[in-house]
Amino acid sequence: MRRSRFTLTVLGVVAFLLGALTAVAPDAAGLVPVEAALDMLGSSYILVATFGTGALIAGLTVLFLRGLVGIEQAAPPVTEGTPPVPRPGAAADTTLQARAPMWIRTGRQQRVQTRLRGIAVDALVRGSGCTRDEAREHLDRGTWTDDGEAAAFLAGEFSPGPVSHMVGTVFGDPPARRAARRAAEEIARLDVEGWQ
Amino acid sequence: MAVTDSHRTRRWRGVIVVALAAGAVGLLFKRPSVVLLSVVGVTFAAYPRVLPPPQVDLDLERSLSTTTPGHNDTVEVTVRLHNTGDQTLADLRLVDGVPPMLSVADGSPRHSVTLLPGGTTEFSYDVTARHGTHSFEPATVIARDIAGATEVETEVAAETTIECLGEIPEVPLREQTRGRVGQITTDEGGSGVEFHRTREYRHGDALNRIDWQRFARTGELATTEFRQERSAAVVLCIDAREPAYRGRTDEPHAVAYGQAAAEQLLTALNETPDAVGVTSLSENGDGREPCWLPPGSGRDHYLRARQLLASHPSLSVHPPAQSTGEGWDAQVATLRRRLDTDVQVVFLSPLLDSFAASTAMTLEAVGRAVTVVTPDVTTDESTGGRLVTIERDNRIHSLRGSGIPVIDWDPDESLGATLVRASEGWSG
Repeated sequence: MRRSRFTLTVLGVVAFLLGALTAVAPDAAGLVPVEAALDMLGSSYILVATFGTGALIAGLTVLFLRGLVGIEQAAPPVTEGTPPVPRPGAAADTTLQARAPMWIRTGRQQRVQTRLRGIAVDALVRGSGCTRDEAREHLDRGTWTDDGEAAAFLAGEFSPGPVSHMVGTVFGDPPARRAARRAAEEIARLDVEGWQ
Repeated sequence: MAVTDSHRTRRWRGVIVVALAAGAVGLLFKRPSVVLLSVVGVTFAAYPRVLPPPQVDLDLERSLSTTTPGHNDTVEVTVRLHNTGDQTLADLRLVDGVPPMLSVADGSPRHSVTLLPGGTTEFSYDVTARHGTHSFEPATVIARDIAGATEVETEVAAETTIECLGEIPEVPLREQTRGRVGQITTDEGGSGVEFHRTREYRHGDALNRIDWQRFARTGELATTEFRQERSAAVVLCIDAREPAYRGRTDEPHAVAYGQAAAEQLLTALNETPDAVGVTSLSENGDGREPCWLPPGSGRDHYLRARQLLASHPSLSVHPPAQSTGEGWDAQVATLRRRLDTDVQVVFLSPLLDSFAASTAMTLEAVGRAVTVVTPDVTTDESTGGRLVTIERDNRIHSLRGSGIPVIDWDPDESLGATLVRASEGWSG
């Protein structure tokens, strides 16, 4: 492969030098039997067409390859910042903002409710000094917040009607997701402002 | 040794097309000058095959405005690059190897230059220092020939380290000690400096420990006992599981902070009679098996421990690809077996999942005194962030309720100050 490339390169350079020589010294054109070759081919257009077609095919191939693989040059590393890692809570945010189909899946609502309830129980125990049983009772009765939707979600009594479910899902905010988000926001708010 | 890669960029792929087209048009119109245009294409096509790839012989020096900054201090990094080869480097690009846990505050670690043989270039940028020991990585150098057709990529190293390690006046260890004399005050009576109690004189008690005032008052001989001071054996356990690789935007993650805290504790404990070891909890696979250095003392042991903290794969600055939680229980079981009953554990974990808290409780339950040092990387930027903050607070509350001391460390403060405050809180 390398040898053939080298041979072609040498031939090309020699041809070019000959061409350049004829431009500088027109008499040198006699060294190459151009006219005889053209007479043999019949027309100079055949020569041009051959070169032109070759150029067109090569050009299109190059454009295709360039679009496909680009230029093969080194990509300098990015060293300006720290390696990216998830932010604490990123996964919870993803869940609370997940698209409607994620919330229609069986078990999703239950898992989110269990986790939020666990957080709320521990936070209530820590923040209000009550026992775990008392905290659970607060959540079951919905007395921990004034937000009815958040309270119903953590009490396990959240069951939107089919119309509400359908409308919410169509408009991209399923009722279960909205209720989970409100419950999460209420827990976060009360943990700062103090539990009732 | 630096890996050097030399390759063609194929930047001028297709230039022969230009030559062919020019040649064809020139022939068609019988214009030698147009044929001459193909010289451009021929030149670019022939150039990379005629000349050898650039020979990169460089020497890099890096100097810092300070090598021991405080957390959040700005450090100016000056890089000096010298062409030691005999070839002109027409297109030289350099990206300095900023330590992964530091971010650039001002300027740029990238530099582009044409460097003559013997020539030198210099540039500067600022980084923000963070807790821990940070080694610069080799700078990446990309040299291209004048046409950009051939490219050589290599690395140039210069050992440079930023040590951002605050002093720790006292490590708040638990009372679980070994038989040897040390600095931890115990509830056992004997020799020491802190008064413990007086007891009835026994034959053989030293004269200087007899309570002579009491003898003068009552005529009875009594012996003064002081609290015995013993040394401890401590294992610093860094939580390097995938859930610990969490951090605020553009700041180091919790594993890096845990590592930095371990380095500081190791240095502080090395100056005491206490024995100290190092271990980690990590993800199995990808060569990230946990590290283990049993408790020991002495300079060689200290250097081995520092080396382990700086380079063990389980403590890599780059997070593992994924976590399945497989093998975590087995790692804790192995750790339990490795820890003698008189060894205490300082567990460095951000407490971002329930397994971290349950690990501390498990070790405490089997009689290994545990102290948790937890770097706080939580954020209240979003609802999810606030929920994780509450979960972590719940875990701290639960651990403290189980009798496990927890040191909640805000990395914006020095660990030493946080430990002192925690000690005062425990004794007050």
